[in-house]
Amino acid sequence: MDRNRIIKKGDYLYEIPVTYKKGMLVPARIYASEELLGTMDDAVFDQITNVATLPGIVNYAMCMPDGHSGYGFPIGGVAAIDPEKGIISPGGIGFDINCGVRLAASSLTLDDIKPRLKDFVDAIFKRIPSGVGSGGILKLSGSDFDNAMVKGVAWAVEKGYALKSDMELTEEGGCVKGADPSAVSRKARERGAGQIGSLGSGNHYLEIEIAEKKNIFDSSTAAEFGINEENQVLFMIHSGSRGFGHQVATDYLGEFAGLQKRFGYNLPDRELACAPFNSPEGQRYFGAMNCAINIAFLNRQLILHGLREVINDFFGSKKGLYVNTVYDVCHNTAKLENHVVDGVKKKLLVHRKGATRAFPPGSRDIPGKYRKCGQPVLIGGSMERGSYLMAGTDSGADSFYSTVHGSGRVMSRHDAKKKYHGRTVQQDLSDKGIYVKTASYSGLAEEAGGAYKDIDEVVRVSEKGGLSRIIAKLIPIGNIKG
Amino acid sequence: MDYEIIDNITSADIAVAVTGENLNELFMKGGIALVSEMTDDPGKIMEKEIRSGSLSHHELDLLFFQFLNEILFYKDAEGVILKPINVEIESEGGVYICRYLFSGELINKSLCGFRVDIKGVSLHHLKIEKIVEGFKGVAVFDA
Repeated sequence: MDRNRIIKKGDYLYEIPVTYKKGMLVPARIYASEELLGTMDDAVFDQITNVATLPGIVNYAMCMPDGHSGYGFPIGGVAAIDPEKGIISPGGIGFDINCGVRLAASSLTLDDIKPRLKDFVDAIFKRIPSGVGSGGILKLSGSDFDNAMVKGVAWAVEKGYALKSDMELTEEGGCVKGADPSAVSRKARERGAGQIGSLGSGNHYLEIEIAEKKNIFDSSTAAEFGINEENQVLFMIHSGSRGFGHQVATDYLGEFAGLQKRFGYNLPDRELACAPFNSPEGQRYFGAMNCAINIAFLNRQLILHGLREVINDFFGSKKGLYVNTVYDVCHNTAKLENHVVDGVKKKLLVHRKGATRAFPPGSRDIPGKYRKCGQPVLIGGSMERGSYLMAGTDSGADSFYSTVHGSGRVMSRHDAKKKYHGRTVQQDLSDKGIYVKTASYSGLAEEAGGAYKDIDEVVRVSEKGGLSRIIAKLIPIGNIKG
Repeated sequence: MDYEIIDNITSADIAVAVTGENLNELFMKGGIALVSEMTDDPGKIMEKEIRSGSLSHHELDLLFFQFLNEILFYKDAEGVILKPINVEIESEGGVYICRYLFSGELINKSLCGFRVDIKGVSLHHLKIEKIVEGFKGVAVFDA
């Protein structure tokens, strides 16, 4: 791509005009600093300008500061679609529907954990299934599975796997509306039945993190989020809907690919295959995708449940022990949300692929206890460089209240594997005080810190670009890697 | 490695290209590429489990999409890592038919070592084209 065609609109905002590519309906906008723009490969710009051709897209196709190339949408891609005139696209959500992050704050401190860190991490690794094709904590079937698809975390509360507060402090209350189990195929059920309560692999993990006072940048909001002790221990879980969601996406992507002519679409990338949102096909996918969103919420909940059991085994004698959900966010979804466009309130179907919703203070769609400070936004970094806790802000309206989801890759998996060796990565991290237990050493090499952007720069740009504001940085000390 | 990694398509995922003298070989190599990206040493996968089936589609590349996704389905639904040992592609009345035979073993018994759980085969850049030597296929895997 000729990068001279990217117009600088501000210190942290770039734009590619509609004249760049035939079929673009809106400009593409990239939130980045000059440094981050330089880390984005050309395919990012090709992919985000493809997104700008989607029927019904409103204002801009957007790429977040952690953007990097994927398939269909870039990772970090956001598109708000007018549901009356527009489409729903499985490629704008991804195979791992509601891949997301749960953060839990505990009453433990570094002093409690440090002497037993290795044994503790090993025990979590043993309890929480991870790696290729791993089975889950539960195997669901029949009406139980259907109920879980519809109820999400509420199902876990009923069955004793969750606290009521876990549900309340999850995006959508842990249960998105509009889930339709009748739209889910037999194959999706079979593929997902035995995997609920498992991490998976790739960039999925369970991390033990420390909140050091020097890394808390807004102590009053951090306290609202439950972080108020020096060296407090937190747990971050990154996983999604596992095989269930992967198959839902596969089913509908294949179906929609064969329907593009009938719908009159001629999109530049077949991965963007879509259906009119209000068509029977679009509604069936929406119903099945919502089932996968709820299953992903449940998956992260069951992982937290398993983690709580291990914590209880190790630290049950500690007075006042607790492990409380701070929040749980989605990365890969399409959700109906209310936004203001040209001064008019509109319902939009916001596709986010590798991006986080970041609703501002006062939003009625976030838990009451966070309404004053804005939605917690959980930014998972590489296992080496730490993670961030951010919050939604009023200035995020232009991005339909969307922000970054992680560091974003700068190196392909293959390049990372050529450059790093899993055992060396593990040893290097150990030397830095981070104990990593992994299901795959070659997988670990692909996830080396050097394969990712500088997370400090990513969150700085997110804040300067008005997408979300920084609350605290969390430092890893242990990681269970799928 | 009987396939090529294409570096400039995606940084998050894995893009591969395979060639075959005929469609049977192309599909075989595509399946082996997929399994090779998930495992450290696909040569160590034991032939203890057999699965067979047939798929059909009027578009050849979408048949390839279905075929590759079939391997992922068995991995998650039955916990078996399988690679293709025989594939036959035929065309009847404008519809392509793929009859496959996979063999492999249970994942928890496997000695092949695992790398990354491929989630799906995308349609991004997916294609099968005729070349002088036979056929070339490209696919992007979500890793």
